[in-house]
Amino acid sequence: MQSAQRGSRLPRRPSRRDLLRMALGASAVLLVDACGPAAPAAPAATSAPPAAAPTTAPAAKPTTAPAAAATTVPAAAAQPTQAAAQAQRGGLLRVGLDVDADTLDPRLTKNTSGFRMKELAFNGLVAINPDFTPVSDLAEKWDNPDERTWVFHLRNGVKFHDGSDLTASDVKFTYESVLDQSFNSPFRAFYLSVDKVEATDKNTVTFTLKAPFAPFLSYMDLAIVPQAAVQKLGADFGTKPVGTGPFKAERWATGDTIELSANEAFYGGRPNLDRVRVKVVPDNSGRVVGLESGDLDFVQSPVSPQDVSRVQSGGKLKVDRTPAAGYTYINLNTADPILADKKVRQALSHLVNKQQIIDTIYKGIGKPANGPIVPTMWAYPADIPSYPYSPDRAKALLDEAGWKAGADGSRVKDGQKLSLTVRTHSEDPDRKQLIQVLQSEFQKVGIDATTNTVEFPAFFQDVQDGKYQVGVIGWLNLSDPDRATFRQFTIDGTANYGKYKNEQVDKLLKDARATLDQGKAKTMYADAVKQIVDDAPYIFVQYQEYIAMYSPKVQGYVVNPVANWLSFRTLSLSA
Amino acid sequence: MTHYVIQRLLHTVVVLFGVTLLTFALIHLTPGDPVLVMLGQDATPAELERLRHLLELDQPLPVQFGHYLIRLASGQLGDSIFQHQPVTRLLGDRFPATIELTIAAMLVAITVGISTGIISAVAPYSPFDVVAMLIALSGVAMPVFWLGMLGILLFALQLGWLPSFGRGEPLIDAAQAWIKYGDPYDFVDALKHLTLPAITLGAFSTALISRLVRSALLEVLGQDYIRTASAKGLRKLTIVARHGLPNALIPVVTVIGLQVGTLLGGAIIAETIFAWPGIGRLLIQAINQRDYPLVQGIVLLTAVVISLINLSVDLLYGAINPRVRYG
Amino acid sequence: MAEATPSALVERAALALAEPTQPESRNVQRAWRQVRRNRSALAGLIVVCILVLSAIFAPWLAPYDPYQVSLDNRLQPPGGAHILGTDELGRDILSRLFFGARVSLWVGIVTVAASGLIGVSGGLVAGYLGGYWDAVIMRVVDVFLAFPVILLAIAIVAVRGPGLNNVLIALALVYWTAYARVARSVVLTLREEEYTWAARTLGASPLRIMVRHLLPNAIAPLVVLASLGMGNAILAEAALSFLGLGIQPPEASWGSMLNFGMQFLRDASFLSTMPGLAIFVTVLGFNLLGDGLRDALDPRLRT
Repeated sequence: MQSAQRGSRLPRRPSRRDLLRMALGASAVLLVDACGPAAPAAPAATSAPPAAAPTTAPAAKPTTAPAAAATTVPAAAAQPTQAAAQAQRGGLLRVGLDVDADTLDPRLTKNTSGFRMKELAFNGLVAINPDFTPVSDLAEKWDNPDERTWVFHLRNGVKFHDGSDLTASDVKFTYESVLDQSFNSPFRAFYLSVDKVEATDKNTVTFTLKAPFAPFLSYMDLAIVPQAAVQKLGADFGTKPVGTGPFKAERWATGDTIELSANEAFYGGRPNLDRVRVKVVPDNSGRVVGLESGDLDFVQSPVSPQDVSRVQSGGKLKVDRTPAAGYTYINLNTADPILADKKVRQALSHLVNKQQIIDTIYKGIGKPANGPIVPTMWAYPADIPSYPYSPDRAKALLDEAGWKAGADGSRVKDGQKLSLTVRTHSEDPDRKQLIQVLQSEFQKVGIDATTNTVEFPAFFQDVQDGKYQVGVIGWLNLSDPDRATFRQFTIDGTANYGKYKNEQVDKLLKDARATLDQGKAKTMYADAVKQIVDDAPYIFVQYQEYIAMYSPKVQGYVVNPVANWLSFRTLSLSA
Repeated sequence: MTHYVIQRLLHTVVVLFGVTLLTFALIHLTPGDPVLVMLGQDATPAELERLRHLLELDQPLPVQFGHYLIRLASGQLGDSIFQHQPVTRLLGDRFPATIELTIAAMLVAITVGISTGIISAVAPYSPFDVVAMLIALSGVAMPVFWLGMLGILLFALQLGWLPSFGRGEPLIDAAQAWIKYGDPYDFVDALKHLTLPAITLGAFSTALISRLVRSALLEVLGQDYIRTASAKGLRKLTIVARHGLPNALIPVVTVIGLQVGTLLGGAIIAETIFAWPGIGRLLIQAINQRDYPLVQGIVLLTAVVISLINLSVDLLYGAINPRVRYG
Repeated sequence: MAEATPSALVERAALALAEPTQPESRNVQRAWRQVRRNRSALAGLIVVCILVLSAIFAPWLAPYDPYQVSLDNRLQPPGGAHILGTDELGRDILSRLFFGARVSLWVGIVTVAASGLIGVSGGLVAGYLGGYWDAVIMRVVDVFLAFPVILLAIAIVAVRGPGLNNVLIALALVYWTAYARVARSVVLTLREEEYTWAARTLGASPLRIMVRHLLPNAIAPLVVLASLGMGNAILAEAALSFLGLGIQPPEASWGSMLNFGMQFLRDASFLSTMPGLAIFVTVLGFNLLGDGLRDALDPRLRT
């Protein structure tokens, strides 16, 4: 076991906490506004959303999942574009991002920009398609000889940017460094199922798992780093990364620009673009202004809803929208004495006019959400009833719960007023509007509602501490139902901030993650979601969209629910 | 003169000490436990202890401060918690951009401010004067960021003359490239990027300097010796240039020195609007991430720079105004 | 003695204003006449009065409830039922401007009062007691002055968290230095005046001397500072809100209204124009009034 390079970093962090931030973090920040402070480089979930489906590799056992062939074409080619045939060579693509990458070391990055750089400069064993299916990347094919063993066969002749060859020992080194607890990789938790990694020969890597793990293949997109370069550069690898990806990082002016140039020796063929320049423009509207004035060619979420509708109706720029693997929701702290009562939570659920909120605040972007699993996911239960907007029903439920309206309209029980504080983080103006709407609705039925916003780090810490009552936040990168439910709704779940407790749901979720039969798993998830919705620890508000806006010169971009830049490999700029 | 210089130097040293103390105290102004804020709730008590020990928060305050000073003396400002780099390196990367912006804004303020001030003083209550003073009045009453946004919308979006954000190549590098390769493109591009931010940042100072020059010059021009010169038949221009201006400019020079502080502060906002990669934006980012070593580093650097500039202005003032030295 | 530093400019102004050439009441009367004659100062005074009245009578002047959310009505342009339009949550902008005036006025008053209190006390003590006290207090002033105003305010709000109270604390801690310097300069001039001697001989305590004899003569320049300080405080609050560190929604402060409205700059510019104009006019008013007072109280400094 090699010890990973760490360099002189302050402080050491537990990976569990990183896991929390990871899955939750950038979701909240994704619809971030940055008219104010620059959007925090919030930790985000991992890049590649794996399909929870059991593997579909050639030699695998028969499964019920559709067979995704181990293709040798990069994922972007999943969408046929005639542009690919006549794509023009050359050019500089100028992209605007909301935050700077925290590091360019793909094993350590925690924020969305770091993930985008990873997608440009590195490859994993597999890559994940926009429809969440894994396709071959560095691994040409793979076998699954038994439940606990996976064998990956690397492509021949793949070279790192510094000219050295990719070998199986680089893969082994990468995974072992991530698994090394002292390295503090935020991705460690995803690979805990791995018992050992061996480089069985120069081009073959064998993984042995501790127990059968259904979604394993979809986690195999971890970016592979070169052992020699990492050991030579140490901590500097984070500023001078070396990978196998279609673009090479040339220059990183922190906080401002990242310059990349085409990798002539990329295994999938030299990308069409000559260079990519990533500029950090924290203000959402400022980025769009940059796009509209021609200073940028490409911007993506987070963007203000009004900018989207204006640009779309303007017709001069391309706007690609797709349902994202995330949602905005209201987290109710069931440990709070007022909110411990299910009837109160259900009453609150009736006070959220989701459609109106989406139509007004979000300008029609996104769909009303009714559960933790997003509609594009295979496990999405289609027949879950949603709470209709009904202040009358809310009032009735509050009465039933013993909160009676006094003479002045405010609700009282046992001499105590029904007081709630609705909170969110200050970087996101849409959520700030949302809490004001909620405050207004709550007050109309006699709840003494106040609002509070602080910046995300402080807000999130309070949420994790359980120091909140009603918090508006989001989830992102929920690429499989396990990621969308396990940590949030199991009794000891690490992301169960509201201390939700339901034994049945707990059991259902635990069983579902161990079940290799997708049909059975789907039923279990449906049952779990029904109960979750009924218990209302969350009020689901909006299934988000991921939106990319770009100049008509840009050809071949394939929009991706988790903003993955896989298609940059074949992107081109027309004249 | 030497006595004056020594006095000023001592003064600056004391001020710098106070500045360091205040900056050091910043981290302790946080309500609650700063370590908890930095690491988050999920950190185990062991982790919290470790960071606390690392940041020496478990030591008595004077000891912490002592160590802080020692580290400062050896040029160490600690490591940024979130960017995994030494604070000094981050500052070194980003400060030049702020300097460039500040100097550009200062140049705008000085040239435009002094010239309009002079013209206004020479022709008081003329249409030019009235308009100029109105603009100056507005300049000090308007929120800077509003002005900046409007500028972007007009000049970048609507007219397309200037870029809407960001910085071009460092101006000095671009100038060198021009000289070496004969291609002015980078230099022109850098200037274009610099224009809107510099004007936005310098607007307040321009207005201030303009009004000040006007009032100072007017007062000087009303003095007896000026009227004497006029009676002697000297041309107005000569009077203004050789007798009026130098005396009027003394207070102006000192105010300009003081404006550096205002500009550095305003740079925080200007950099945010224009996505200018300087330490102002770095500060905001550090604050959002609760990256206290970085916040401290930036605050300290800024205050030190300002103190040194004040010292230079004091010494310069002493050099040109003999009354000060012996007073 | 008066420091031989570049800030002599400020102190010169203070000295000139503070000379007790005439009994105070006649000074005030004369000043008032001067102000009335000065049109711009008068305009400033009117604006300030409008602000104060708007703030006091906001609940009666506002046509709608400034907190009433109405999503169906959002972003209505000015005209019609809502004279200045509605904001992103359907609230009436005019009403929010009235209530925002309260916040702005409050911010200005508290900042000026707090920073004035701290500064004037410090300045009086430094000037009158001299020696050790003077050295220490003036060094503290210099230390605070080494930080740009916005930087210090941001840093303080950053460590304490956003919100009105922390903004007030930050602004008070940032703006006190000007008052200290002016108060000190005044005292230094007047310390040797006859009536001060007389009071001391009669056994008056330093405190009594400072408050009863020195302070009244410092009022003139301090009032000028206060007027300008109100404008500065309002601008500072706007800047802090712009950076997300100021007053949070749904409170209606002009700064946060401007901040929020900036996102709708392209589609509904009135959301930011209205509070922006309010801030601009108000700060202008305070500046004009301050200038006018300064001119009125010392003819030599008139421009």
